[in-house]
Amino acid sequence: MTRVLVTGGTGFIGSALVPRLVASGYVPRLLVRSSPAVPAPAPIEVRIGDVTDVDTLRLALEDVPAVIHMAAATSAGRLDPAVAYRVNVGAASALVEACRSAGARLIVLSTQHVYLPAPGLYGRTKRMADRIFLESGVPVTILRPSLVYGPGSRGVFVRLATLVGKLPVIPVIGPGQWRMRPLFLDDLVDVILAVLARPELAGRIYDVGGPDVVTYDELLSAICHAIGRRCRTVHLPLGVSFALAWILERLLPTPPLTTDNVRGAVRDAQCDPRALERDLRPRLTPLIEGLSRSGLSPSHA
Amino acid sequence: MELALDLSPPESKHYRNWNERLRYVARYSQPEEIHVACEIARAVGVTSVMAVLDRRTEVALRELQVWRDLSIWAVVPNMYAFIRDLTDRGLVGAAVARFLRLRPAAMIATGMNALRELGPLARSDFSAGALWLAQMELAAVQQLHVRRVFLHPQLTEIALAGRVSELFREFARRVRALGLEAGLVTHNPVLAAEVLGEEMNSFAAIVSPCNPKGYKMVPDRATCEALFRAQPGRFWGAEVTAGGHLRLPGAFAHPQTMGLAGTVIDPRGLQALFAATG
Amino acid sequence: MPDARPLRCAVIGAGRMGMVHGHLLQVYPGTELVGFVDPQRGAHERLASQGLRAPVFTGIPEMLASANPEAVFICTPTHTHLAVTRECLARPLHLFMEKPVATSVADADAILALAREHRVMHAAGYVYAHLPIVDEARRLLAEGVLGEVLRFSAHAYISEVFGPKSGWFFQRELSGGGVVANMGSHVLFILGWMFGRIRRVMATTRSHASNVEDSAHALLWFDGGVTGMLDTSWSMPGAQMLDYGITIDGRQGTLVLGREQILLHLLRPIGDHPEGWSEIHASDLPADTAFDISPHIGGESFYRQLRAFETACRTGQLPFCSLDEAANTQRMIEGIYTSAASGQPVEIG
Repeated sequence: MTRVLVTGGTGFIGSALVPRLVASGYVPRLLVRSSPAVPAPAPIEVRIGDVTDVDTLRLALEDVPAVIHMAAATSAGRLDPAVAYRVNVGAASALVEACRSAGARLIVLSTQHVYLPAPGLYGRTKRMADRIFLESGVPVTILRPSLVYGPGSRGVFVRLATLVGKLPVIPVIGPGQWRMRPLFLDDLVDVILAVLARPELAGRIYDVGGPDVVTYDELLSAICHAIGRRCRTVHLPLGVSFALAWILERLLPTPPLTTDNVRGAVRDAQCDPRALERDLRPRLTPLIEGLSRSGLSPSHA
Repeated sequence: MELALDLSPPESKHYRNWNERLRYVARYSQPEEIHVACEIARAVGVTSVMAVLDRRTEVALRELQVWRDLSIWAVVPNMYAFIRDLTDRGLVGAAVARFLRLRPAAMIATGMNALRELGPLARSDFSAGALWLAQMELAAVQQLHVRRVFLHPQLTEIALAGRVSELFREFARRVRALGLEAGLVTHNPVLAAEVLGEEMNSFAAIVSPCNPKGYKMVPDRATCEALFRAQPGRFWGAEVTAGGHLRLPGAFAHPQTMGLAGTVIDPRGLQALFAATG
Repeated sequence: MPDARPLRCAVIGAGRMGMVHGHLLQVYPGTELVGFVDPQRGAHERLASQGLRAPVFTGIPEMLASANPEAVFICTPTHTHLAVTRECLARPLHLFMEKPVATSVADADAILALAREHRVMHAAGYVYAHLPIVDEARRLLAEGVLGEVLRFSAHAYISEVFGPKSGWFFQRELSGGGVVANMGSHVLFILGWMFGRIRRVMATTRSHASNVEDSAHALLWFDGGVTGMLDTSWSMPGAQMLDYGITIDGRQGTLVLGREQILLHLLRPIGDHPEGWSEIHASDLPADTAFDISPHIGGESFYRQLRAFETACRTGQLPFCSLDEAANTQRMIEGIYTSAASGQPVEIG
């Protein structure tokens, strides 16, 4: 059975990925910062350590031919620059060094934010990390997913759905016309597993998005419909949104709105699906079906 | 043997063709790319970054030092920018433009210096002007953790040609007064040794070409190498790939045999080294 | 028996180029810097602060009388070159003229005529022709490695003008023109040196930001039958120093000349050169300079340029970079301007 090192394996995507790795016959080895409260069931292995430490990674990569790298400092909350650089960029160079020693290949979860002309700290550091991976000569496949949604209690999407359910009027950054391809969680896991099975895809970068191109307003409408409520929105001018986010970042440790979120709201996500369709021909879940499978119901309202 | 990354402006380098030039210039004109280059450099063992402190490099290094402790070697003054301003705004305009970039405290300190040197500055004294420019640039980047300060090679070569030893003496003194180390970049190390004499000991590092082909080694390879061997640990090797003709990491072998303190590579060499390492 | 004394040289015009030449003259063992001429107040202190130790005079007659030079380096604004030459040639003095040598063909020819009349050695400051790699390219052409040379394509770019500029350099009547006269002319000189007398020119010029032309395209026909194109601009981003390239096609191969290397492609082996692709890098060429005034300014080519001039003065053999060659360059420059103004090709007699 083949071992796969997974970083960020306890997060929103990781929690869906790891059981599927097991079901596909892999032995996931999770690199985590601290001991889990509940021991992981066999055959899942756990290593405690820092993803930015080369020695830790070298040890974690013993007998491991592949790494799925998902650990990141994200814009889910206030993002400290030192942390963002250390975790997002520092982990990249540490992983490159460790993978070289081990002869391992990498599958990296990046972000659509890298395409923004003026990304926030998250997008910038992920873009820098991607550059390091691509320059390294280590076999690497980079996946850049659009907004990921699905069942579970974490992630940007769940916060969004909660907001939609709770607020009488939903604030929208800007005109709400920026477009995206919301991606169902299971579909992303399918793509990761497919790439894992195909080492020859090293060197490729894939935008991974769902089949439906929707504006942010349309996404909100779809969520409202799924939970059975009327969609009332108020569009905040970008300047106001940015100022609000800036203030919230300084007042709250986990602000509901960050300046990175605002930056991401001003441009369409590129999300060009052609390379993915050409190489993997994935079956992608339409938004309505995905929202339904995400467990959204009138109980969210 | 240590490694340093040369972040001289990509526009100042030679390339094989125009397209290659544009590729590198476009890439390394972005602070983000400079920052990435520094992290990659650290990963291959670089401990210092030598840079002319133009705006984009300054931004990149400020971001870098938020989380990494690479030693910064500042090359001052930014001669290209100064000469461009000189032709566009005249001497006074060029100096004022730099002065206005300073924070108030630095303006006062630099202004006081200028008053003391008003006479020589007004007479376009070479040393006074060079030192004042250098000091202004350093004052403008006080938030950077600069460890070594190098006189810009364009000034160095002119000063060596004119045997203006007092410039080097005063430069080293002022740098030391800031608690930093002084350095020189020169393609004429033998002349430098002759002009500086004992003053050479004031310079912690002298960067000069060193490669087995003698490329850019003036007056010739043998004379330069005799000097390097006579002053072990003072010289750092530049042009170690002989203009890209030799490959890294193999090209490090030669400067190592010369007893050099280290070698300096540029982002092109860094790319090759990063891909080759492991 | 060759005279072992250093050649006594004076510099006229202590601007940027004058200072560079002054330094080279002090460093080079075969020359001695004996004086500057510059009317600007404070020139003496300014020059002395750079270690330029020669006396500074405000006028040429005074300098000639006191410094007794054997050669002069004329580094004044271009439009003054003819008048300065006349003044200098009150006695026979070898002439080094910064480029471009004049603002017109008539003036360039007049300067050359004066030099010939006084039987002095002369050279023009097209310093890039002295790069070892350029020298090597010309040697290969002269060797016939390409067979009959048919055509070329060349560029000369620098990042200098992106907005309005002031100063004599940007006034056509004072400097001789814009990018063509003052920057592209380096490559024009090399082309003339390689392919001979210019016969016909067809050109366009554009002004982007300054009062003179900032870019130009020129089609050039040379006497020996070689034709080609030069694209030049000083409003291109990315190059603090002149970036040039010349690709030359012959019946037997192609030579691509860059700043530090030559790429050669031959259809069959010629001498030591193999069939197919080979490269000659500047690092393969013998090192023969004792001072590098910095790659930013021109590296070792200034030293080599001075050596060529000093050797000429010592041996009485004109250097390759003589005012004859520079007159050919002046014809190309003027042809470009005339053609651009008229929209018609210009035949050059």
